[in-house]
Amino acid sequence: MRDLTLSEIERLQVDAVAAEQPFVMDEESFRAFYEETARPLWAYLSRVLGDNAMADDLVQEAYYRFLRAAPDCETEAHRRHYLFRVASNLARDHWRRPRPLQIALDEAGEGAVVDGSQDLAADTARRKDLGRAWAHLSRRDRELLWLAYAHGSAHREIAAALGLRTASIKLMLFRARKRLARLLRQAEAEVGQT
Amino acid sequence: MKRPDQRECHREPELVEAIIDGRWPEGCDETLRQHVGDCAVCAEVAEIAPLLNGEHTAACHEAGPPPVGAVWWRLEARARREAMLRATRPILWTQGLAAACVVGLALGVLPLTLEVLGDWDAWLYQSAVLPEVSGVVTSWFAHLDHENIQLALIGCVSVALLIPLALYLALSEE
Ligand SMILES: [Zn+2]
Repeated sequence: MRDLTLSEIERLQVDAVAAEQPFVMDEESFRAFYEETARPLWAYLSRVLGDNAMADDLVQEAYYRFLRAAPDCETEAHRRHYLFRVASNLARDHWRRPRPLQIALDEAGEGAVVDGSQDLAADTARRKDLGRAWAHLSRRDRELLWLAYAHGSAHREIAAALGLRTASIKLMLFRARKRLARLLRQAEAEVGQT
Repeated sequence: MKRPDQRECHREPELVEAIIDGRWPEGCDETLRQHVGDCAVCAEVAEIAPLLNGEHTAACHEAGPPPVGAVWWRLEARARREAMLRATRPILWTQGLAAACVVGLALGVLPLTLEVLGDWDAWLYQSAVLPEVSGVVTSWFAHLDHENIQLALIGCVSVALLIPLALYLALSEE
């Protein structure tokens, strides 16, 4: 039997790597998970970072890191929390400075006063206030408030997604909520003055 | 009665759930509405949560995630590429080491080659470091006869041809 050359060994190794499944999760499970989480994940990254383009880039990176880490999750909820934890770590690494919300106001929203739809106009004004207030919040405040009130996550779930102790969430969320409420009142007052 | 320093309220989860489900305020029972009127925490939550939940709905609508098939394909291809790099790294190391040995050997015999080739390299020997290194190396080979020097020359030419090949093998995969 002849000896194997170095390049043949290399090719055999490469073939073995190509043949094996790269992730623990199979494609079908990933499809279901992605369909359920891709939009909320993008929304989270986009609103926490205040940067839609960055969110576009980081969503795929978050899924890649999630699949590579192959977390041993018992439930769908655990899996989702783990994904958001990966996303939060990415947001921390890519956080540059506080940025306002990139709120895409649709044409109906902008033209609401002309159409006489006062509710829609008020809604648009509130979103603009939120955008201004949001610009002054830290990354951590944004994460906490988004998970608690945009997702409706419980303290335990927020702690899992942010890698914090559940006991710390109560106080941190209380402070973040106070700050946002104050900033919203300021934003409203500024609009009232102009 | 409202207490501004109050940090939490046992009815907050119930209120948040109602807001997320779109039942707040009309779809909730009267006791919750009354409670929100009296509780500082819930009043603040009722002010903030609908805004953030509305923003969440708008952002999800705005999001345009790429098709799952394309994402899966890209992630899988990336994982395989990285796994291949990991698998071939030891071989690359071996090749790099071989290249380094070849370069070291070539540098070792260079002064001897220059000596054999004639005096044109005298200027090089007069430079700062090379004379000392070459002095040592040439003293080792001082006893060699003419045939051995020819052999050394053939070796040097071979090494000179092998260096680019070895470097190519070592670096091409990187
Ligand atoms: Zn309450």
